[in-house]
Amino acid sequence: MRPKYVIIGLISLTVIATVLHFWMENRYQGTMLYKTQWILQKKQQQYDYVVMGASHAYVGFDIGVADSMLHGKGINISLDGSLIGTQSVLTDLFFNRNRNKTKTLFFCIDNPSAIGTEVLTDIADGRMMPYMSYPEVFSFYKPYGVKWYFDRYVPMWKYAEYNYYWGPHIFADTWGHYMKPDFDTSSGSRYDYGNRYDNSDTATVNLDFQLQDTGSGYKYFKRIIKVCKDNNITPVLFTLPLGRADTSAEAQKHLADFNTWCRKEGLEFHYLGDYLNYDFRYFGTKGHLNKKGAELATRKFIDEFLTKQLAK
Amino acid sequence: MLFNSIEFLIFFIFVTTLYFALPHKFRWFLLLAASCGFYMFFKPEYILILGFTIVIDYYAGIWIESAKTPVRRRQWLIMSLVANIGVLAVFKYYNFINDNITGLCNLFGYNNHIPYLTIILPIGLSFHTFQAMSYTIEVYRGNQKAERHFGIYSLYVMFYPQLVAGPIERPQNMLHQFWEKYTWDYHRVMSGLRLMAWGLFKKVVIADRLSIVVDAMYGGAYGYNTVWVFIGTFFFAYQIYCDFSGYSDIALGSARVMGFTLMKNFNFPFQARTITDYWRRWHISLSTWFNDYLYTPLVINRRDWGKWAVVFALCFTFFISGLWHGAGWPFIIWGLLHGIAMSYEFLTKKWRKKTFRNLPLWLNNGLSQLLVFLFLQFVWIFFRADSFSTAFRVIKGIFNYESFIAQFPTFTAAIRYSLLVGVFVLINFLILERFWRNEKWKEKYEGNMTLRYAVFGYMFLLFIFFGSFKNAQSFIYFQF
Repeated sequence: MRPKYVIIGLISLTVIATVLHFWMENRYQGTMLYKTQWILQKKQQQYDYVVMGASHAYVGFDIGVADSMLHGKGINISLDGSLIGTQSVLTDLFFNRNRNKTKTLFFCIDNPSAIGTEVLTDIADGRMMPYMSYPEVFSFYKPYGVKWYFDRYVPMWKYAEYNYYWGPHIFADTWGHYMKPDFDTSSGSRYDYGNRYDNSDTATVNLDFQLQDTGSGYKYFKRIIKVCKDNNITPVLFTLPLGRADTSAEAQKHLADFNTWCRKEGLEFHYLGDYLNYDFRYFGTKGHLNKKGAELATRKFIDEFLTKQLAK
Repeated sequence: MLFNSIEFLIFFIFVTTLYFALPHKFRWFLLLAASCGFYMFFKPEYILILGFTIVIDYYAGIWIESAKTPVRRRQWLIMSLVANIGVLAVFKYYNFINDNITGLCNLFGYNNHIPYLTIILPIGLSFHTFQAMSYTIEVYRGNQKAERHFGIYSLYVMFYPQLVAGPIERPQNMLHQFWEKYTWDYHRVMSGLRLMAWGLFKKVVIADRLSIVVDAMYGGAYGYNTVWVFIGTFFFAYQIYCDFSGYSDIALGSARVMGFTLMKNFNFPFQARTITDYWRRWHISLSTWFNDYLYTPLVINRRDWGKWAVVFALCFTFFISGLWHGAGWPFIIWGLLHGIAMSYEFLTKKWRKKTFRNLPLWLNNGLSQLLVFLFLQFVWIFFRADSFSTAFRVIKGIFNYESFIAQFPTFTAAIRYSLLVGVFVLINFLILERFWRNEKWKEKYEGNMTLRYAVFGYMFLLFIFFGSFKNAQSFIYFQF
């Protein structure tokens, strides 16, 4: 194989990869399968409230119930599998880049997505790939290592690396739409837990919501709060009911500490962890509510929130 | 540092560029430093173990050569072997032996008070220990002069392409190569890079993809039934083949780029028509090591036993081979089953020839290949299962005729995806390998540039679309 042909071959591969890369990027940014795509196609919308969090809020906050109680229009932009870092990027993109408006951000605090968490998760981060060229997204990932530079700058690298999320089967789906979308019209209740009683998961949910602070000083949490301030949004922190929480004295102390911390920071926090008495009839797993549980929890949360609002 | 990582890509480009840029007299130092860095990337402190055996064997080689009497030569060899096997015994077998002592004590109502060691097995320990042992044995036999240059000897043990998972080299093949000067040869470099790319393809596209399904089957979360067990074991056969031969290809390729020739480790093993033939094609560097240093001396030593000397030597060698692979009874059983199968082949060779001579050749060959492959699949259950109980559950599952079609929807999306993609990439791999196995086709392929580029392009697409990058696994043989 002569050098000339090797160079031609390499150039051809680069051209093929680059063309594929931009074609896929364009298709992925313009279609909806995953929740990230759905969220980031919402632009310049006015909402009465927005719900943010991880999978607990994704499945446990019933937008339909909340809409009817608040007589408004809300949206649940919670992303399953996400931690606070990814949530801060999504919040930034949703409000600053896409200029969506709201008065209240209901922010579900839970574990493992504690507010000091500084690690990434493939489940959520993989679904951010088509947006890696956005400065807000890349600036979040780049401190985590050289891999993210490859994802950002080498054609097709990220789509090869995350080919389970963005492979040819998903590319084909941008035309065929044969796969079940990762969101629904009211955006909650995605996991079809029904009223299944699943008591096999005996681990308890940790209540240390400030856990895993790696010395960054809650930078992602602060980023969310800053986005709220910049857009005149009131952040309201809450924890949805849990199926099997840690009830030890140490856990109660963590909870009390977090309450104190929120008061000091001037933040409103509602803890509903024990509201359903850890009754597994309302849960799919120890942390995820089923449809009935989500309805009850949302009703309780909105009740409590409204009572506080009225009292002000 | 894994061969299938960005770190290795950067490391390889950097070391190779520097290698060709440096004058020859400094290259051994560069390669040694690079090999140390490569090894220390896993767990830095374990380099001390390597250092210990290197020093012992380096001096043992010199002392064996300069010893005045055969007794003295033998003593130095024994010292070297004891040191090497001692390191293996402590780091690899101590807890296994202790486990067995505990079992025996419990049987007789005693307590075992010997403490367990909380250590992680140094990566590739069995490989570099065997390579070091082959050096002192060859010096003892007079087939190799003792290496006086400490750096070159260290490099012989530590040469990074084959440091952690072989091929297990012989001093006659390797040591002189470190003294030779290799210049940039475009065709050689390209051939090395192609081999590396093929190895990477096997690892990332085939082995790591199939591993998702194999792990799910052996994990047992979905139960076991005939089809599911067959898929899991079939996939495992190709997973381990592509994983290990992929590693060997990358090792051979990266060495070839710099001018070194390493021993071929695989030769289409699933084409074997007997288990004996299989071991001439699979992990060739280990098979020949056992053949030269254990099996043959045993047969010679016990030659008065007649054909039973061969049977004994086969079973004992494969018992040790099983133990070499892992400190656990399932590995030993795996090894013994191979030993028994080879003994059977040896004892019935004439009878089988006579009985099946009337069968058409194609049928005879096909049946033999199929039987060997099925046997391998079966014994690999012991190799792959983490315990006897898992192995027996899997074997029991072979006779559970529940519907796989009904089971399929219960798999997670990732498993379903990997199963379907696994079948697709495996078909592609089998076609490609079939293509390259045939000399005529290979020649035609080599001579047709358009076809070559089309195949490269297709493989590139398979690589990016179906490679398993998020499930990047360590090479299976690293653990040995």
